[in-house]
Amino acid sequence: QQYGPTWDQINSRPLPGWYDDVKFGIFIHFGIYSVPAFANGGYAEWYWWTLKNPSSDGGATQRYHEKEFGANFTYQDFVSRFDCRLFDANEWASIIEKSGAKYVVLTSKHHEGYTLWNSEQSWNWNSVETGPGIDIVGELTKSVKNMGLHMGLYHSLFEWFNPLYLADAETGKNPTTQVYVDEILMKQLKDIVTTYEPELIWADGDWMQLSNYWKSTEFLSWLYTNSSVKDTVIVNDRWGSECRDKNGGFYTGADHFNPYKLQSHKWENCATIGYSYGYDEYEQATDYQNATELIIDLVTTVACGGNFLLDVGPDAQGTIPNNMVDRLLEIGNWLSINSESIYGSSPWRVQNMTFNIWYTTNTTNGNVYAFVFELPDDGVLILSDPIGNNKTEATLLGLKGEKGVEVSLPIESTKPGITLNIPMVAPQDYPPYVYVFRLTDVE
Amino acid sequence: QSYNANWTDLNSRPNPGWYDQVKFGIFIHFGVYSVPAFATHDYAEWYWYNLVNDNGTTQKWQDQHFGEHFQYQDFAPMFNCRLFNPDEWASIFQKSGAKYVVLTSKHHEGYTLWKSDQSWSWNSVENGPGIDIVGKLTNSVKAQGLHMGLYHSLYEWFNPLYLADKKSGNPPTQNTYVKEVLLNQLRDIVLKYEPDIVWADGEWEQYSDYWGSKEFLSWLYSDSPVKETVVVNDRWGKETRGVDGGFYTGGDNWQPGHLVTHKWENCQTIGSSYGYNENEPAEAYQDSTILIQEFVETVACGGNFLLDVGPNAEGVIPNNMVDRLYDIGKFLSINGESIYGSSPWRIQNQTQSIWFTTNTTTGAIYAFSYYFPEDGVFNFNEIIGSKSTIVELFGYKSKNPITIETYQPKGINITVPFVSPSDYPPFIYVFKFINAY
Repeated sequence: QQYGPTWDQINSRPLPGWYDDVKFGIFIHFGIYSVPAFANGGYAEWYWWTLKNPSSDGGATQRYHEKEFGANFTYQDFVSRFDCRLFDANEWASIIEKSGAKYVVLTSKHHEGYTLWNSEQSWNWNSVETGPGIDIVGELTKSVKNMGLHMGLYHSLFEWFNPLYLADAETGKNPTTQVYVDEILMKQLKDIVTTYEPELIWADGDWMQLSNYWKSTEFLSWLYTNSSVKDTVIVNDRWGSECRDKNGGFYTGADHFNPYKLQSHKWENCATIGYSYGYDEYEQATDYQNATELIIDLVTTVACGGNFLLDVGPDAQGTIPNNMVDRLLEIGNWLSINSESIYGSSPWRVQNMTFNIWYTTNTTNGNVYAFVFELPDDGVLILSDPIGNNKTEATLLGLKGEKGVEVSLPIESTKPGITLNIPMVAPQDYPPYVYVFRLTDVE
Repeated sequence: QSYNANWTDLNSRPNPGWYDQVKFGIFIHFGVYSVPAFATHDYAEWYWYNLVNDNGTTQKWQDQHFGEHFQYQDFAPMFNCRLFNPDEWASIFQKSGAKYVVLTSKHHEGYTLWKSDQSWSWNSVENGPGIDIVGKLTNSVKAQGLHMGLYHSLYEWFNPLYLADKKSGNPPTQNTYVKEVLLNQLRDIVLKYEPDIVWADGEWEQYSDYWGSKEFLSWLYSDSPVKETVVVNDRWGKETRGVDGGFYTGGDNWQPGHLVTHKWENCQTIGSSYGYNENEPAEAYQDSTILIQEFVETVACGGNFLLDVGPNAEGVIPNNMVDRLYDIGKFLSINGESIYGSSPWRIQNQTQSIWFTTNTTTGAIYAFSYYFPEDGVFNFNEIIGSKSTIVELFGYKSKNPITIETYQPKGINITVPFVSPSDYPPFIYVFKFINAY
């Protein structure tokens, strides 16, 4: 199949089926910004930008930097502290596998330009030649694939302070030169695809220029037509200032995008546990969402046709902080009980009944799943949307009767919908976090 | 009141009443060992000792991470504490429901967290963060209305004065280290910071005679500015644990499982290590429910629960530890009256998962059940009830009433209806009984 470098042609390519099936991925923001690990209520990965543009955060980062590191300390001076001495790609992949996530997206290069692989276009500003001396992209890619998960790479189109990019930008509102794109961006993008064969390319840093400056359609034409991952690769929609929600693969909206309604196009909610994507040392325990809140975000995303990409920010030593790991393991626990309602599911004809009740369906066997965030006090759950019949059965996933056998719940047909009578049981017998009811033979 | 320098006199001093009342404290292990933050299976705070004595495991790790010519003292400048915020720490402790704090003023490495003249250039003011950690945290903890305690190691693994004393004989025939370093430091921390607890450790190599423990405690109880409020533990010599001193500590993580008539304390870790260990994965940390069970069992048997946290070298208490502390605080906000100011009941437990306390003033009895019975019927065989017995389940939110059946000559069954999971109290189940015996 050939896809020429036009949005019409590129947009006509179907998304590879694996992506919609898997529903849940882990985003990893990791780079030099993991060293200062500071933001004044914003994103820690934007440290260098806020340092150089004090009006963007009222000078908080600049004051912090001068106090902690000295006014003469440059951002590049952080690189020797990006030691990654506890980085263990196999351990990360194991944690991610236990979380129930099926794909991973690592920042191969964020807007600071520092690459997590040995990029010739980023000479002496990469994780192999400076800092840890590790091909982080390569090591993690190998571990993630060994775990049977899909590996994706985030790549920033622009670099805040790259002189080649700045020179291009200087030539005009729509730049008349593309030196940065030709000499750096295109080469890096092809390098990561050819060397690591990612199944997902997550573009960002799109908003300053139109896609024709970034040569996005040329790259995607090659990616979809000639690259070694042409049959499996998926991309997002951040390929130019005009592209978001219009062009590319899945749509991302803004960060933390969760519309709470069905989207006709495949989309992704890239969410954080705390506030920042990159590790922020200043985020306190209470700034992090608990597992139930995160699972609700996942459910409301999947019910509306989205994938849920949950971010972790490892620290400069290469450790995923234990409170983040706690959340991932809890989500994995919930998914181990309720996996059939998520993986391979599709939005149902109705997405939700109230904010506390959402639906998915399995289009192969016709099962409908109702996700209930709070059970009613009297044990009588009215679901007004499913149409029942005399064969309808309902089961609360994870609720076991005697000998560990699933228990069908008593059902009454009501107009509209069905009413389930949930047996009230001892607290430890309820499944944790969010309650998922499997409904069979409903319409 | 004067207490002479002999164990009979010293042991006759009553523990100040505040200590038994408060039941729950936070232990903090913080020092240069928070920088390498490494142990393979035990305590990260023993890093330096392991470096010298563990047949090379720690040395190999250090060579790999810091280079072959790196020595332990090189970690001190890396102990930067740049995120240390004592007000924030004290706020976390207050929210956890703890009422006292014990900070390692000096662990066995000899590095002091205050400016000690006896530890010149090996203290947190002159080397490393440039902060009087003991002073700052003491101020913040006291400002929160909590009691401040200081852990102090009697020995120092590698102090040449101590090593020379040790070499002089068994037991030592000289006590230069004690006279020149230890006793001066102990008096210094008491006079400067007026702690309500002095928590001794590192006692096991020598008898209390060598350490000058009785002389120090005589001064502490008779002449010091904290003589009315201070409580100490029992680690004042190799012969004193469980025998002499204030509260008894047993071994680390001590949980006797039965009533101990002498006041005691369970110093417990959330993970395995007291000091921060970067290599402890998330699963190595006990979850909140398990910690609460340990806490309850301790209090039911007359103990205090001292739960440890290990801040990292930047001075941050890791968020997964804070999560546990906040959960315990939530438990205590619901069930506090069953813990604070409580006393052991006439029977400590009915099974391994049902424990009791009582309030000797009001006569209320508290029963803690770790599990909810499958049939919803809690069976408390040991409680004597009557028609006037009233039972309350703390934190129970449903309007469906709890029912009681009392039996002769003893035994009460309580039926808690099956309700929506959010109507049950979190963690464990605590019942209050009025007009019961």
